[in-house]
Amino acid sequence: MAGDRRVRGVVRLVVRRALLAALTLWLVSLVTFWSIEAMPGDAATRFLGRDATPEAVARLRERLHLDRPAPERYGRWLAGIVQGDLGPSLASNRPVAVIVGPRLWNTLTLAGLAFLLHLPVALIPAAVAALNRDRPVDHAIAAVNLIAVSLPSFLIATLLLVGLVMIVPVFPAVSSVYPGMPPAQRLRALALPALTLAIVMAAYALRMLRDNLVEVLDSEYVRMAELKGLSQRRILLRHALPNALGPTLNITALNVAYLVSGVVIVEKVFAFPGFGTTLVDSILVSDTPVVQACVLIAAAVYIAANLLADVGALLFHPRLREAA
Amino acid sequence: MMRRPVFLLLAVGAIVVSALRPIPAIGAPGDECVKLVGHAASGEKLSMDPAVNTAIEDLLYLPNIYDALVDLDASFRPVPVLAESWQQSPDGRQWTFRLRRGVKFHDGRDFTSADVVYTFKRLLDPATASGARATLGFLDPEQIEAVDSHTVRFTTKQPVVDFPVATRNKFTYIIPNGMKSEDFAKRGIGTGPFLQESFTLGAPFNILKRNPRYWQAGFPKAECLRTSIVGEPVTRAAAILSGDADVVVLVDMATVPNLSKNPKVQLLRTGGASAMVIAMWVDTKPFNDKRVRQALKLVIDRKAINDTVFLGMGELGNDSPVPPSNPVAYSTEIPKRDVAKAKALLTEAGYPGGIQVDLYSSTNLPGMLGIAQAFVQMAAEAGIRINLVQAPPATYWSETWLKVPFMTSGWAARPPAEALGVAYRKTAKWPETHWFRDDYDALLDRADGTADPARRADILKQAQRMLAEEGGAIIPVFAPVIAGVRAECSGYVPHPSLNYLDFKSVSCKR
Repeated sequence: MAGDRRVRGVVRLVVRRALLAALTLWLVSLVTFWSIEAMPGDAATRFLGRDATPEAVARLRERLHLDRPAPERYGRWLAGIVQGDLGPSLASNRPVAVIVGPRLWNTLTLAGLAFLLHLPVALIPAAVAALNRDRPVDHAIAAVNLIAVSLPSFLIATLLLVGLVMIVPVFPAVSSVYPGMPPAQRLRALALPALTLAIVMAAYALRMLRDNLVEVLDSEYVRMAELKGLSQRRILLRHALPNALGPTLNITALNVAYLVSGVVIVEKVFAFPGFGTTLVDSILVSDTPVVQACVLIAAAVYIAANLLADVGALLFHPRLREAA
Repeated sequence: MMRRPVFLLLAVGAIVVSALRPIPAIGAPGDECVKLVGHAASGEKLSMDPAVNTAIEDLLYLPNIYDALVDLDASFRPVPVLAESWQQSPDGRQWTFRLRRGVKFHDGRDFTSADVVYTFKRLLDPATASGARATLGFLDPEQIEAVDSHTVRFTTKQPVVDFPVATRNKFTYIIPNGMKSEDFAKRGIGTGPFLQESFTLGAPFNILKRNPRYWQAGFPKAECLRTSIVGEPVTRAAAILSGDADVVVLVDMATVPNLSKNPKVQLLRTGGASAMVIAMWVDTKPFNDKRVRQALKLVIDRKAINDTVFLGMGELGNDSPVPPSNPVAYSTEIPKRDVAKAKALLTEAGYPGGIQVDLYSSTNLPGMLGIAQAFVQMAAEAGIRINLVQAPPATYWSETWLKVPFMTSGWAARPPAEALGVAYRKTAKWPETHWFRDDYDALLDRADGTADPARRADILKQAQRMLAEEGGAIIPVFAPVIAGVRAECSGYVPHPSLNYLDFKSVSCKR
């Protein structure tokens, strides 16, 4: 049966991809551990910094088993991770899962909102540009788009901050969210960081979307629809857009991957209590276990997103599926 | 007829527009409080235990929750707090503190001498692993005794003149007798103006409530404080304007021009605060020649550094760690730049073709790297070719600083005698210039043994002159502390040291 073969193929594929993902994650753990290990000094001296007294360093070294050889410490760490234990923070001794968990949730809501927000931000100008091909509006949108692509997210965030907080005060400068926050306030607090991320993502998607739309609008079936006398709006929304969206899925996968790293900078700018801020703060105080765990979590999210995108793409493209 | 995609677009648009409309703040926790914003997060390192505080985020909490025996004013003179008065014995080796009566800890316990004895013994206990041990080396834990319920006596081996000042630092807040390290994870308990009902590590903000039983009548002024951290300088500036912050304890230099024009903000600035240092090892070539050190001090244009790196808001320095505005400073004169003389000194020292050296710096302190960059340009004119090595900030203090012969650093404002000792004594924990001079130490010892303030100041001035003329520290400028306060708030006075923030007089009209 064709259906059976199809299911078996997909299962085999998912298993293979999952194994590859695990391998990648293991490589990330290697790089993370050994690059931190290669830094000058050890975890104890870096953590204590200028206030280090010999006793304090000695006690911390003992607690962290720094007297043991590095491969052994790596083995211990990896064994913990495999059992789902990311270890405790060096500073507070709280489990990393407890520290990062709620923050990761905050980041996911931010990323989710940014993702939703980036769709209209990309779609509307893309449609306008495609319908007005080679007219001044198209060129203007292309120019603005080029600028947006070139600006680092840090600068976009700062510009939004200056514009929408300092000049026209509509949003709070600090995006602190807390448990039990009313939804309207939460949305308002999330607005600026989400908008920053949405602009960055939309900038990538817009050009491809516009080009796809142009191509589709030139196609024979669109001409057919025009000849049938359908309204332009209907042609665009019902016939052109759905067909133009498909090829942009790749860009979407890239954008999701971008979110993993992009949030770090954007969260820091808006002091958003998310995963990225936790990573930066723990780097600043040299809380090595938290840093290692955060890098691993980020890598896991990245790999998982790619895995999902791959599987999704394969499910919808039979030709690719056969090749796999 | 409305088609679905159009409807979807409209819905998304409606959400965006409704988010754009300012929604009145409806009771975010602590909105009614005075909102304090700090500049650097301690992360998981944040602790309510004064003994192990890291002096960044921690210092938004500790001075509110706890009191110390004394506070230090802007010139680092002691002001009575939990100690009402103090007295030195005639031989100089005993200090007796009379403690304030009727003071209660936040949990209702009475404050007595046992708490003071416990606090200091705990700080000196190696098991506590407190940074205070390095600065309280003159104290013997066995020689701290409670004379009666409200009198404490410290006996030292050597006379210590400035004892009340020497025992006041960011670690020496008084905690209740018997409080264990692990107890601080729930909340801090002190006698301070604000109390902590609970403390949540990792929360975006924490709230401190007014201590209704505070010993100083009429204080604190505010009903509550809300503390949070905003690392990004521009966001901190925007936070004052948007009302997310009432008091920003450290405003970045770069945002000052913008804020100073805004009527919503008052910028408060201290005099010279943190000493910015270019340190060279006086026992290492080519810095082992006094003339080379003097040449390096001559090529620097102190005013230009202040104007470019600190927008003219710092205080010019003259290579003494005591700022010229301090009454104990050796001189108020600022050395003039003299490239010709520097060249002559180098030739005399046997370097007619100039010298080539590596200077290490990083971005750990505001302006630190800027000073190094400016210095490289200035020195080049005298044939001093400096190769600037920018080390990673994460490991700068642990792996670069004190390990290379030529580097930048900075020191938070501190009392004159301490400032002269902390990096320059032979026994200093942080000997950043390798200035191991018995005659210099002898001067500091003599100052420590001199009770008469005028004579003591004279000796300290002598030590400073020696350091400025022969030492390995170039101190071109003292960075200021600039705080930003919303116009409707009053009572905040920034301290030159971020270790001594004080919020008990702050209040805001709502």
